[in-house]
Amino acid sequence: MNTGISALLDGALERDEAQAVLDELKRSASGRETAATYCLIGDALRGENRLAMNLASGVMARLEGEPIFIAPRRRMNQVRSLMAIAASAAGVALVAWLALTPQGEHEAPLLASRTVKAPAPVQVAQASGQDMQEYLIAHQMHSGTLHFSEGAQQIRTVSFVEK
Amino acid sequence: MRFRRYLQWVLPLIGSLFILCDNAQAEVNPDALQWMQKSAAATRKLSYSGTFIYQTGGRMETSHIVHYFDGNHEFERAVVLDGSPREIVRTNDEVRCYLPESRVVVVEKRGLRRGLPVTLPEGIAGLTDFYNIRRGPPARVAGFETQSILAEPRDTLRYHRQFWLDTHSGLVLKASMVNDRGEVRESFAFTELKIGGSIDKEALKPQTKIQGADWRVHDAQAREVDADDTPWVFTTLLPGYKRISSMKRQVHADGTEAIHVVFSDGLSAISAFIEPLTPARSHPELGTFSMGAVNGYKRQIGNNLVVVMGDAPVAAIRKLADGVEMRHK
Repeated sequence: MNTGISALLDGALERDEAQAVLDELKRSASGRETAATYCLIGDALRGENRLAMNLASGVMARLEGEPIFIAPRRRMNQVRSLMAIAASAAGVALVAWLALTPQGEHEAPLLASRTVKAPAPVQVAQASGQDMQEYLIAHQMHSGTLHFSEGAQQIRTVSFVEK
Repeated sequence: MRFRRYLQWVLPLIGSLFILCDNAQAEVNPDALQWMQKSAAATRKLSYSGTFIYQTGGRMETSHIVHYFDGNHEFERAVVLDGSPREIVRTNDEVRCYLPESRVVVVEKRGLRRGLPVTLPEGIAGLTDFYNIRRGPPARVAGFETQSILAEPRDTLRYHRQFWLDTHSGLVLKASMVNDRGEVRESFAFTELKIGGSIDKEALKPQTKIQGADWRVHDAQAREVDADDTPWVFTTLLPGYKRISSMKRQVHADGTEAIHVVFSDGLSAISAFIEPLTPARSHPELGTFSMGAVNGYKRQIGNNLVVVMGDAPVAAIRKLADGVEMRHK
């Protein structure tokens, strides 16, 4: 179990393996404690720096699991070399992004950096009339998620209902 | 020459390794999940008072909130400080919204306490199937040191979220919801906050004076029903959105009853209301609409109105709404 947690925190597990460890953690309080301790140790070692992602062990573990690519020695055509250049540029850009991202406040760029492409926006009319307000209150009341508090979620409602 | 050929293959490999590692880190981040769990557990049991800003659709409002936990029960009052003094007063599972301009008090109760989806361990673990959850940089909010947590959707059925949690108590001090174009649809942020200490009990009582015959109290009297007992089925379910509640409620003063079904993926929630159309409301406006940060879609099935709304992209809401069908007997 401890080996599993350790590997999980090192990012060394495949998705399904990681899920198995997470499932185990859900069941085992002592496992969660161990994980928390490992996190603390990791944080202390890393000095809480988000750039320090324990790349070395992650890379080695990933490498072991990766299929080996044999590069063809001949017939490297132009498209391929262009793709190779593009890919390396992407790698460099990513490293540059990681290195140059400031450590302070930057919600929008961080969030936008991994945007999933969506279909074209739909034209939306602002709802009018009060008949929807009770629906909105009911929706908010029963849709609890991570928030300040359950009551504060209704700020959405009252904010919309009366200006 | 040989070196160049070598580089042509090694460089992209290094590049993709970096991407792989970054993804691996983002996909499974138990540390970030622990933070969320800590926060969800802490929010109910803390006593605090503070001022926060709520922003949506180019509008900004300041509110004051007092939350008190006496060891068994929760008491809470939020009042909007700008514009009309709307109040939200909550005692455990009952919320009263005082709307002075509309002269109405809306009472909403949650019968069976099911717990918030995200506060349950399975809710937290399930999140990772549909969001990349990871820790962002630490930041200072309202004078508190916070840890930021990012939840990035893996598909187009939900919005991006970011939370800033007090590193000591786990309380959410700031939260934002961002669409796929990077536009902030909604944000909450404390500007001033006191956690713990004594709470003035007077500050928990509603201040709105309900006088005059024109005030109306609307109590929807919602009650849980068995989903299979309703005449409606959802033929298109959205991945990750689980049905967390099925209710019957009074939606209009004339006592019309609607079916209310709530789906949640742990961070986003979508409600579907289905009500019979009465002669007074026989020609409702149909189509998409929005209410601040909440999107909605209305369609008619026979003599029934289907209203689906939630803090999810319009496409997701339409998809769920278009799948509503009358159950075949």
